[in-house]
Amino acid sequence: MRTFILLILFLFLFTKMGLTHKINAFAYREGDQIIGEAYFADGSPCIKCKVEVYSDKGVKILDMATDEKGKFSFTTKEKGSIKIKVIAGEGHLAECKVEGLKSSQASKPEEYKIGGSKTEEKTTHLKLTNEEMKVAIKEAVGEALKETIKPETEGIKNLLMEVKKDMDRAKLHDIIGGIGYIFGIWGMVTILKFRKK
Amino acid sequence: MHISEGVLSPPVLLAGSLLSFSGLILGLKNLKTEKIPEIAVLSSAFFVASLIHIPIGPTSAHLVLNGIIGLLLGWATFPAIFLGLLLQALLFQFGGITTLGVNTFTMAFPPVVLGYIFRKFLQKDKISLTFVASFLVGSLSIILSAILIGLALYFTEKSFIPVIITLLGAHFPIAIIEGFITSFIVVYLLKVKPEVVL
Repeated sequence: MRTFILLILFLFLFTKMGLTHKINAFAYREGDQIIGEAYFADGSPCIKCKVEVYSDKGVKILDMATDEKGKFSFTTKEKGSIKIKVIAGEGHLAECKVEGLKSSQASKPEEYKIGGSKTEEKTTHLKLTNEEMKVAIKEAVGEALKETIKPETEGIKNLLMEVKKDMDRAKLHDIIGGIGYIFGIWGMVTILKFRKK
Repeated sequence: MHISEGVLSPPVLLAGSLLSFSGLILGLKNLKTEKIPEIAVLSSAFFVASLIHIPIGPTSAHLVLNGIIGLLLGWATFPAIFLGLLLQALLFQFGGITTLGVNTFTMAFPPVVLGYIFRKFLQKDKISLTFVASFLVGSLSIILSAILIGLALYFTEKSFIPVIITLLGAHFPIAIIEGFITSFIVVYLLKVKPEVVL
């Protein structure tokens, strides 16, 4: 019995640097672009893993792979929510969902496009109507806002990613708690066995 | 060695669950009260072992320790491994609740069978024979578990040989390491507390 206790203590020493093969995926949307990352439970990247993208209705849209840093990004016209599956082989799989654009937001990019093509055409002729002027200004302001906000949101996104990774890591209190549960459950089995006798 | 949720098809999941369920019943029926503390310790060892990663080249694999459990517990391996896997699924999301049956069977069945085959070679006065026998149980358990996982994945991935090759490649070093761990534990137990092993 003493060896077992020693063995468990020995195992404990290693749990801090313990990693597992469980993979996690995290993705977010930026306009038409979806940016994501896949990583193992210890936070190390999932390199060259298969990524499958499914639409809201379960139709496969895209097949791709993660890069050397475990990151992936793609552009999509899909406005609804998107399901991303990351497959690391040997039966390891992670899923994550990217929420769809809200209807007001969803219509915006198209508006831009129409506006964009029109303004380009017309500014050269300097014949902007009032309505088109509004669209052009809206677009320009939107673009400038995105540009200024980008560095800040980038930081927040990275922080979110770090927090998510940290949450997915195996925690020491979970390990100790798990061992406690195991002993507790077997203890109850023992009590039941004695009751029968 | 954990198959994640959503990888396997329902028939495979059902078959795995049924097989594990019968294993669990067998294990719990033949349970001896004085064996329970041992089962509890081995189940928690199994629970923790999966967190220990051994880096091998570009990848890494984790310890499983199912060989030693099968050798010491017999059919009680099923409840021991089931409980460990259940808590791993709940606390760390390794594997999953739906794949619990398949994972339990793939990891518990080979060591149970190997334990029954090799247990008679464990003798107090023949240390080297004991060492070899327990080494074989420890390492073959891993290899057979990897093959069973490959079989389970075959029904969804449709490519048996490449999956098996990658699985065996990843687990071969672990099999060797586990073989040694199993041997050392068994030999030590034979010297200190032979009634646990024999």
